[in-house]
Amino acid sequence: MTLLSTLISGVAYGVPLFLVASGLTLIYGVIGVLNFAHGSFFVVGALLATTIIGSTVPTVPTFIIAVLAGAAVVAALGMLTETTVVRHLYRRDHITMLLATFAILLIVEGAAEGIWGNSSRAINKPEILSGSTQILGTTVPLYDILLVIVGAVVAIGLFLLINKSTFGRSVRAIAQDQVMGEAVGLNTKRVMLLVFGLGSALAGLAGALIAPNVSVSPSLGHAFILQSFAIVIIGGLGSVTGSLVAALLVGVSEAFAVAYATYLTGFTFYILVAIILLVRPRGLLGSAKLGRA
Amino acid sequence: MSVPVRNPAPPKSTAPPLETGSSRSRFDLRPIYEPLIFLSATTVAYFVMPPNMQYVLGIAVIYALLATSLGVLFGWTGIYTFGHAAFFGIGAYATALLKEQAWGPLAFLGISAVVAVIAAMLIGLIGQRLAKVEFAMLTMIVGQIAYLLTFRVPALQGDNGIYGIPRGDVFGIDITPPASFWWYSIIVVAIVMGVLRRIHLSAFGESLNAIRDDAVKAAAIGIPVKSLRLAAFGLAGGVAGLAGGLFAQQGSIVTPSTLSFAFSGQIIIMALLGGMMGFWGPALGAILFQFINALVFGNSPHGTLVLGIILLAVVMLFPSGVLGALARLRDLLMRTRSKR
Repeated sequence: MTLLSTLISGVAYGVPLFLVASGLTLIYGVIGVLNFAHGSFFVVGALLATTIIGSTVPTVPTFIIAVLAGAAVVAALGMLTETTVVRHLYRRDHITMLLATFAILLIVEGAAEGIWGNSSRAINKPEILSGSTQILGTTVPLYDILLVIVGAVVAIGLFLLINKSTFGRSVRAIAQDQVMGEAVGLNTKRVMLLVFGLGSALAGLAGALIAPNVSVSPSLGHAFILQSFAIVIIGGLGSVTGSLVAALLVGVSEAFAVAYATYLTGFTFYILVAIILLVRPRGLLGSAKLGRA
Repeated sequence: MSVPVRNPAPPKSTAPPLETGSSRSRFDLRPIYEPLIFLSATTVAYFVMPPNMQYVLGIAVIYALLATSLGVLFGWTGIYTFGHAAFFGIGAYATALLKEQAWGPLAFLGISAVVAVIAAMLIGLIGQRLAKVEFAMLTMIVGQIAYLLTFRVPALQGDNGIYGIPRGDVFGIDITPPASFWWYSIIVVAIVMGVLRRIHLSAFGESLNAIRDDAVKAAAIGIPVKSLRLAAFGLAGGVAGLAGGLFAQQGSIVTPSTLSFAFSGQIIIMALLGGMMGFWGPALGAILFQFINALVFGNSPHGTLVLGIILLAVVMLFPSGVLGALARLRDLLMRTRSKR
């Protein structure tokens, strides 16, 4: 393990966390809902991918289909959640919303257990992605490079979508002041639905991408949702850039712990959270409003 | 934990913060007769039940205490926590780790409570500067750390847990037989519930309600918001720890599941099911939950699914729980009667 390969594997570890956390923070920033069910959406993405990839010999096209299907199905699931539950609770307090989405977490997880069973399953990557390559004299797994690229594409895409597009402008307006947004003629209901769908799609995408690297079971979401919640908090609630910074920080510090301080593995993240919350209670970029981050 | 309190309370407020209502509550007998009703009702139920249901009720009354301790935070003070199982687990493990000692069960309960109070105060101190939702997330994370530690610290034995925790004897009476243990646990639970009820009715309890309703105004009338929140957190943690100690003695085994995130969620569901607004709501909810759990979907493979549906229904249709629904029903009956 050299410094460079540790760094790359850390970034690759951080990318799925970023995807999950950015969806979470986007939804929070615009709608003001901390969506507990996000973790179960992530699991659904992963389980779907294992089913699609596991049913054949993994090739690049099936892999792409699996990833896209994961994102699409989970987006639909998120939009269903928004229309059936979340929309009716906007006027109630935060805790009601947390509890309602916690209930959805249990329902989705229970349904996933019913469909996929409780056992964990593992799948292989397409052959072409399971190798490794040489960068500056160190061996780096190809899949890590793919993850880094996907992370970069999504980060840039989100930035452009929020800051440069018409949709992004209405999203920012609603995040600032929902009533005013409605007054100037924005269809807030539709924008919020789309944001919920987009955020959920990011969770599904992360799940599908991580599926070949871990053993997938319906309870996979617990550990992951905790980590992504923590990333949202240390990045600053509602800040997409903050979640990127925090996810990379967590990923890289974890990779360094694995390489140089094994006894800290699995804990670096919690230590980081404690330190950052003590120093900056509002998170790294907590003061930044959505879009201006 | 703290919502933006722009004007911190003036430092000298030694007098009881709220004068109104406290004079009435000084001679209030509710902290005595309500726990007695609770004790007699559950005990009668216990001795007419078949043994397998006795077992369920034995755990249910311990969970009633645990859910009430969560009520101190959610219902009384408006502090949201998603890691309450951690304190229950800390209490349970404290008793479990001392199993070789011969200090008697009551001493273990005391130690469990004290250890949990210390842990709760530490977390409360760390979280003091955080806003509501952030604090809820911090408790969730801390709870997860505690859960992971049970696998990392060799003395805690990981997945196997610690077993063989003795019950011992209290004032010379052996509490090993189930019936004796029932008396021991229900008396402990009833006494602690009585103490909590007294605190609930005290000036301290009323100050907590004021903080819940409006922290900024509470600070403005001289309530030391930060320290009272910390005290509420310590109190809730301590009672949860005591319940954990009792749970360890009851089952004579402690496993990491007592600290899990899922269990934290269950405690919230119990308290919500009964209703957070009344003192006895969470306790009622815990007992109901235990029986629903055992009778309806305890062994069903779709337990999680059913649990989620119940929670969603409660949150969306009966946000004030069973007690709230009963109160609404009573109001409705009163109104129809007065119309005649």
